[in-house]
Amino acid sequence: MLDMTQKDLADTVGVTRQTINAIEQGEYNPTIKLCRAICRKLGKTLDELFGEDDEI
Amino acid sequence: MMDKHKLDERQLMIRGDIFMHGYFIIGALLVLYALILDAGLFEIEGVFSNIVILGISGTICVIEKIYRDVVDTSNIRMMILIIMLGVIGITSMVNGIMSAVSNGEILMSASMLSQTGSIILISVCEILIVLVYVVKILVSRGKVEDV
Repeated sequence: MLDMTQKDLADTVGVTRQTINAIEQGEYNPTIKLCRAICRKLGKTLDELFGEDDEI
Repeated sequence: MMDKHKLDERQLMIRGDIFMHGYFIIGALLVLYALILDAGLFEIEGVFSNIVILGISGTICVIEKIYRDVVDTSNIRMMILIIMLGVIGITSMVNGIMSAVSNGEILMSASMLSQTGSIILISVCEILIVLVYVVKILVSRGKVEDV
């Protein structure tokens, strides 16, 4: 768990809190540009954050 | 940092959807009104028919924008705009009702909506926008979730 609110993350990556919430809920698929900004901020890779849960 | 007055990528996409809905609503209302007029069922007095159609479709679009978080409810300029809309809506509604009562005017009959009736209908739309905005602020207040 990170010590960060959706609002904090949203402000840092340049979107609204509702957009971060929609991404978390799986209601919105962000662009690669936004995915990369979120990964950079959270210190995770694209695969860790947005990769498939089940390995093929 | 995000420019407070700019929409993000999700909001821009939704706004496009909403404009498309508005376009279809205007088209549908125009066709519907033309058919109703042609059948002689109902008529809106004077030039107000187009204004009423624009008012209704515009109201639906703005309400959808507020509901789907495309309008920034924390923006002071937006708040001032909404307050002004509310004041104009209430004023024109009271003015319309007073005028209708003092002149003994029938706002709406079985086959016609008068000009004053149209003004009141548009003011109802304006007040509805304000109400939806207030409800949205109340519902979204204090929504701070951890990542």
